[in-house]
Amino acid sequence: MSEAQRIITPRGHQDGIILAKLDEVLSLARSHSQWYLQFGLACCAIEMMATAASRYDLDRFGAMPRATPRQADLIFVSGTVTLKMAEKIKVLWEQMPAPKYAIAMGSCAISGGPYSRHGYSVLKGVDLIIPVDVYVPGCPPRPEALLEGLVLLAEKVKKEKLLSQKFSKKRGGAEK
Amino acid sequence: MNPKKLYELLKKRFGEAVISVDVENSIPPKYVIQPDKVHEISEFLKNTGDLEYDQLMCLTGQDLGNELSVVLNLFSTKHYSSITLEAKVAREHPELDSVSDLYATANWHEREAYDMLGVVFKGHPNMKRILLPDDWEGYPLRKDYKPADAWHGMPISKELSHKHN
Ligand code: SF4
Repeated sequence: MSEAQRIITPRGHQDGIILAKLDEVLSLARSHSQWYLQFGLACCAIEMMATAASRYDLDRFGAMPRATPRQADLIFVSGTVTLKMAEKIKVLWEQMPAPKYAIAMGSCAISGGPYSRHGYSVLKGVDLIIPVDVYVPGCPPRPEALLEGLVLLAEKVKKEKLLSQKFSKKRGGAEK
Repeated sequence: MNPKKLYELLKKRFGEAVISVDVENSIPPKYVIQPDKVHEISEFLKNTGDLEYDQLMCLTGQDLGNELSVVLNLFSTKHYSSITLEAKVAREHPELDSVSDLYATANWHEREAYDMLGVVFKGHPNMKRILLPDDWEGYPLRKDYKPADAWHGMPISKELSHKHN
């Protein structure tokens, strides 16, 4: 039984009526439609572009590149985060509407990578300024690795119950 | 032009301002000159027939320890010849004339030398940092540079023990 079949129970589908929990349907839909903010920073960005291009075809997972944070659910931080750029990343992140996610791609975005010890102008990991959901290690990670990162994130999103937990006032949930 | 001949020509014209030429250890030949004559000598090299060094391939700063130096790599597209000029400036007072009015390339390269080593180019139209943030402190390619602990609240050199353990 597929994920969609498990969640959505057709009842009397001759009338086009289906019954399902809204939370699960929403999360299922969101996990298959993760629009990402284009954000290439260094060499890793080349691999991200390759992932998005025809050979690896990121679009088949429902991930579409967006050129503005306002339309993005997800940011791939792909590459070296310099301190000068870090402030801009923070602004972009804050401009993204919740629920939002971040994938740190490559050693640089995870920990400063080759610059972790002597890089005077490099932030030692983007998780110092924004919350990261999935870390994709490598220098650079291959496109397959980034795809796996996206699939892992989709798994996480699928399990979320936004309406009943995250955004409900009664249970004290706050937005991420 | 033969480097020795060029050296004599420069020496005749600029006298003391041309200090030495190194042909053996440097490819292309390196002319060490006084920093206050960089602009005049470049102008001469650029506009004199038979020389016509019309392109600045690169301009870099160096930290030599006791002093800083600025190196210009000139190329003549007409005569297919290249030379190097080097001007040494005092560490405490690193100033020399900008050549950005002669070579457009110099604009950004001089700003980089300023950004990394703090060499000030007089007459540059926009003498400010090019790579690092404007409010950065210190010049990172100087040998005695010590990075700060943080910039705008973001840690730089501090041991990030929670991450590296
Ligand atoms: S992790 Fe490696 S490939 Fe990626 S941006 Fe850093 S240095 Fe480049």
